[in-house]
Amino acid sequence: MRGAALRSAILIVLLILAFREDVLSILMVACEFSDWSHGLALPIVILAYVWFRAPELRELEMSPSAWGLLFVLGGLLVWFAVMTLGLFAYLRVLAFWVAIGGGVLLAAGRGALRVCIPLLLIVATCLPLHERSMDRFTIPIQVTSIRAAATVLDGLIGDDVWADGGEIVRRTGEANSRVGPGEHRFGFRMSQACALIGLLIVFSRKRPVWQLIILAMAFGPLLLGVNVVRIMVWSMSAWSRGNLLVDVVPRNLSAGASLVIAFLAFGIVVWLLDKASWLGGLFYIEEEEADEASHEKPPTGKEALP
Amino acid sequence: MTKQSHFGNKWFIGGAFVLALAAIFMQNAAEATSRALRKRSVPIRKHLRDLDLGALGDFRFLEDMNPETDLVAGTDEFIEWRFRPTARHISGVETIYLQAYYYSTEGRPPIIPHTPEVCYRLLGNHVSSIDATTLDVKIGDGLSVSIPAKYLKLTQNPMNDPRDCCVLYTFCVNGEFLGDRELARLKIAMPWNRAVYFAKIETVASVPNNGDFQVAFEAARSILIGAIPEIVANHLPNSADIETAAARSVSDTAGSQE
Repeated sequence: MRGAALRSAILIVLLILAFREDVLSILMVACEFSDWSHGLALPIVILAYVWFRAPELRELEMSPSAWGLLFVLGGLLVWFAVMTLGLFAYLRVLAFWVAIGGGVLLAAGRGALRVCIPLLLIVATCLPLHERSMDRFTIPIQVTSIRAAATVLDGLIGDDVWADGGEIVRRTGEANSRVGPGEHRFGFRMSQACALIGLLIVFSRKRPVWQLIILAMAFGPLLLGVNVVRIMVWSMSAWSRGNLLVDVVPRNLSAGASLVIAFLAFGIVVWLLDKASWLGGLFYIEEEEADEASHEKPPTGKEALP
Repeated sequence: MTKQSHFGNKWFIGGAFVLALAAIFMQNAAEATSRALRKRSVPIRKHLRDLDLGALGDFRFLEDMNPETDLVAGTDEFIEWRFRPTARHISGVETIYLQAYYYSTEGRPPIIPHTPEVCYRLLGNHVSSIDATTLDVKIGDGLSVSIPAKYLKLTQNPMNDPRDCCVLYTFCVNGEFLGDRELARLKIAMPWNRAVYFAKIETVASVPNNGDFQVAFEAARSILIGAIPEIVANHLPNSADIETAAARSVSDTAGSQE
C-alpha cells in the first residue's frame, strides 16, 4: 500500500508536468466559468473517495501493470497528434484522462483501476470540452429540460407558460414575460457538478451489482430532473423579480439550489436502495435457481466414472 | 513473488521515464511540428456576392438577408440570400434561402463554426430527421458528378407559427465535396494539405406546417444543383490556385528561415 502511494505520488507529479498546459487550462476554466468551478474541489473529492474506499484498497495486492504503459503512451500520442494537427481539441483533455487511467495501472495495477473507475468518471466531469461535439450532447438535454420545465410550470401556475427556443414565456394579461435559461450553454448549467455529486454519493462505498444496475438506469433521469427543477427555480425567481430576460440573481440562485437538490435526490435514492435490500432478491432468483439446478443435475457419463 | 514485484516495477519505471521525457520535450516538439505544418491561406477567385443569379434557374431573388460585409460566422466572404421558387413543381415552397461561406486562414487550420443540426436545435427548432444524400451536378465540361450532402427535416418555431423546413448543406474542402463536418475537419487538418480552404454551401426551404416535405427537399436540391457548378467554376480556387498558394508560402517560409 505504501509503495503504491509513493508510485502514485511520483506519477501524479509527472502527469501534471507532462500535461501542464491542459492542467493550467482546466484550472483557468474552473476559475473563470462557474459551470466548471467544481474542478477546484477535485483534490478534496479525490481524497474523500480514497478515504471512503480505503478498506477495499488496503485489501488489494497492488503491483504495476504493463497495460498502464500502453495507456500512457496512447494518451501522449493522441495529445501530440491533436496539438500538431490542430484537430478535435477536445481529444487533448480526453488523452490526459486516458493517461491518468494509465497512471493508476502503473502505480497500483488492475485491481486498483477497478476500484478507481468511479474516480476517473468524477475526474471526467471536471474536463471542459468546449467544442461543437459537446453541443451535440448538451443541446438535446437543454431543449428537453426547458420544454419539460415549461410544461410543469404551465400546470403549476395559473398563466399560460410555454418554451420558445431557449426561453420560457409566460402570458400575463396582454404582455408576455420571458426568461432565458437557454442562453449560451446555461440550459445544461451545473449538470457536470451535479453528476460529480451523484457519482461521489453512489460510489462512496462498494455496492452490490443489482444496486449499480438500478443506479445506472436512474442516473440520467435524476440529472435531467434536477436540471428541470433548476430551470423552474430560475424562471420563478426571475418572474418574482420582474420581467427580466437575462438576470444574474435567478441564474446563480437556481445554480446553487440545483447542487442541494442533486445531493438530496441522489442521497434519497441511495438511502432507499440501502433500505430496500429485498429488491436484491429479485435479481438473484434466477442465479440461485440455476445454482440449485446445477447441484441437482445427475452426473454425466464421464463425471460418473471413478 | 519477488520476481513479479520486480517485473511490475520495471513497467512503473518505464512509464515514469516516458512521462518524464514527455514533460521535458513533448510541449516544444508539438509546437515545433505545429509551426512546420501551419496552413497557408488561399484567396477566393471571385467574391461570392458576385454570384451569377441566372445560374440558379427557377428562383426569383427577393432580398439579401445580410447586405453588410461584417464578419458573419467568422468570415466576411459569404452570401445569405432569400428567393422564391418560380417553377410549378416546387411552387408549394414559401421561401428558400441560399447561404454560402468561404474560409481560409493563415497558421492554424480554419475552424468550421457551425452546422445546422447544432444551431437550428439551439434556436429551439425541432429536428425530425437527419440523413445523407447526393446531388448530381454538372461541373466543368458538362461532367456529371455526385457530391455528398446532408439534409435535415425540421419544424421551425414549433410553438408559434410552425413551418416545416428542409436544410440541405455540403462542404467543399480544397475542391473535394464532403457531406459531413467531421470528415471536412479531417481533410482540412491533414498535414499534406499545406494550403487549405473550405466552403459551406447551405440552403433552407420551408413549406407550411405538415406540408409536403418532398417539395421542400426538391426545391433545396434544385437551387444547390444550380449554385454549386457556378460557385466551383467561377468563385472557389482551383487546384492550380491551391498549389500556387502552397508553393508561395513555402518559399516565403524558407526565405524567412534563411
